[in-house]
Amino acid sequence: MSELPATLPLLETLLASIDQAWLAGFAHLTPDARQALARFGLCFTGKSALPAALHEIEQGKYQPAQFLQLAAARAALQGAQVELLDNAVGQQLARPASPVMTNSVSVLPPSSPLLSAVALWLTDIAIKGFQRAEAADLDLIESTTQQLRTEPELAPLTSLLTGWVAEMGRLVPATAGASLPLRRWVDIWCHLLLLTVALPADQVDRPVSGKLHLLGLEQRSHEQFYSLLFHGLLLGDSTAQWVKITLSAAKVNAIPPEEAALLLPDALPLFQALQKQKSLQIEQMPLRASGDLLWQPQGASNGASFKLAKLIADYLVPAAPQPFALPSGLPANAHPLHWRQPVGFTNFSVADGWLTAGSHRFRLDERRSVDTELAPANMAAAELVVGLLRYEDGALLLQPILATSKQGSVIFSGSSKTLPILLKPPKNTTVSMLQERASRLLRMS
Amino acid sequence: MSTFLLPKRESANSEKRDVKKVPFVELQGGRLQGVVSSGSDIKRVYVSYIEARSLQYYCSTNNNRPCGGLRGSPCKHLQTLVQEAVAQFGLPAVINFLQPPQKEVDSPYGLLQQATGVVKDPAGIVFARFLAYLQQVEQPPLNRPLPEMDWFVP
Repeated sequence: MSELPATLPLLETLLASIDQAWLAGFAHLTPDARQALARFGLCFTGKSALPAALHEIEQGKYQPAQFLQLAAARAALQGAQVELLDNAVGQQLARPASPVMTNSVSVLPPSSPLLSAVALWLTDIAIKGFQRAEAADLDLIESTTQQLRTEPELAPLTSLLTGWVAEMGRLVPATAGASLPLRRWVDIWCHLLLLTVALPADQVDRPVSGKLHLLGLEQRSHEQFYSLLFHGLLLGDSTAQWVKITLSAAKVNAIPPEEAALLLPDALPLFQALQKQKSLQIEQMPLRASGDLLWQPQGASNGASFKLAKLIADYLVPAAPQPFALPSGLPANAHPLHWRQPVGFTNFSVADGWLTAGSHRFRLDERRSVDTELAPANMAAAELVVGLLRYEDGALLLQPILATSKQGSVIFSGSSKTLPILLKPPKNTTVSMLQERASRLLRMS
Repeated sequence: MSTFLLPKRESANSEKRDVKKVPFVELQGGRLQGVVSSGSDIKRVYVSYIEARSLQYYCSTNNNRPCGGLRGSPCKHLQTLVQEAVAQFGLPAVINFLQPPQKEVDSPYGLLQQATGVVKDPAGIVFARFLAYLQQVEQPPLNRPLPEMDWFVP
């Protein structure tokens, strides 16, 4: 299973070759960085606008339009990586190819001053370079982010921008010898710039009904956003589909991680279904072509208990007898970070951070599970596991998202810390105190 | 080490934040600033700040009445605010932000000992930021996909 196309690391090298330009700043390019950009441009010929944009940057024309070409070119290469992963891993797991989605974005009005402000700020940061960035540069975007927070439809941009700015605030100015997370920052910078001109469009939703079997959870958070991502298998009359449910909320930095789920009361039935291994009966709930189920608690009722081992054996083990649909995400979000392939195992062993199941062997994703209920050390005692194959630096990793112990208890991210707080919130939580203050102060006459 | 994700971040500080006493504290625009509860009325708060580098400070009510505790040294509201900033961000981050002349301090008290004097500024800007901060916890949750949050693994 560790065999991946040789093109993947080549694309990694190509992407990394131009990152130094963002580190040093486009106004301070070294000869090596200039050469790397020129070589990068040669990969895009024909109708691509990149070579012309790079030439203009070389001439000192630093406008968002030129940098957008660069961001789009990087995104195209990362989209190619995702396609390679889908094909290679799908074949090795003996799964049918995922339906390929067409690119669907909504082009935002160019006159949107908020988005133009973000694009200009990003351009300024790129010109100056990450290694010269300082706290004063971050202050310049503060008033814009305050206004962005009041626009829910811009949540993709706002959540990424506020998280990145907070992160930069901890790491800049870069001290001598300290390394910045360059690849991460360039990828985030590119995606942000693309979001200023086009947001992934709201696709047409179709209502679906069926039995939803929740099979795992990921928690994501930073200082100003908290987001839950549930994974599950939706079984209809004659179809099976892997679906995701996202619930997110704006937060403030004073709210501790274990309390953040109190901002999402609609998540409680999902947590409970996950813990009790009971299906949820879904009626006419909107489903997007990307496999995202838009959770509406009123459209769900409690279903029956299900046998996790049978579900894993039927659908999730390599070469499973039953197929299921696994839609690819929107092309605008095609990035190896977002790539996932669900798998499950009923017969496996875990040792030294690796899971072995028959001829398959996966390194466990330690970063995503460290300090959680699914940390590698806890997996040795697991009897069943559902996980997501992830891609990182040329290799596949297995991120467990659900496990059962030999005693039958169900373990998932938040099973021992978040769920108890949701079930029985303490009397005075940070969330309740801030909400009370908000209700008094924001409605003062 | 991940190329996409940051390493797991250690908790900035083991102290628990007291949001009842200090609902809002931030390191922003060259100031450690925030809001301290008055203790008597939930609608009345003290707006306090201490400037980076100069370590000048001020404290007033949200309707700009000077704090009576400012008598040649930082008042109890400022002391509480700095304590909570340390609980929120950790002492090293607060020292790094404030840039005091003496960086070898091991407590919020050590920082406040270096405060230099009063610099008056209306409370309005900080108070408005506090209200915007409170609006965050009143925003309705979203049920749409948000793949951008994949970048932020706690």
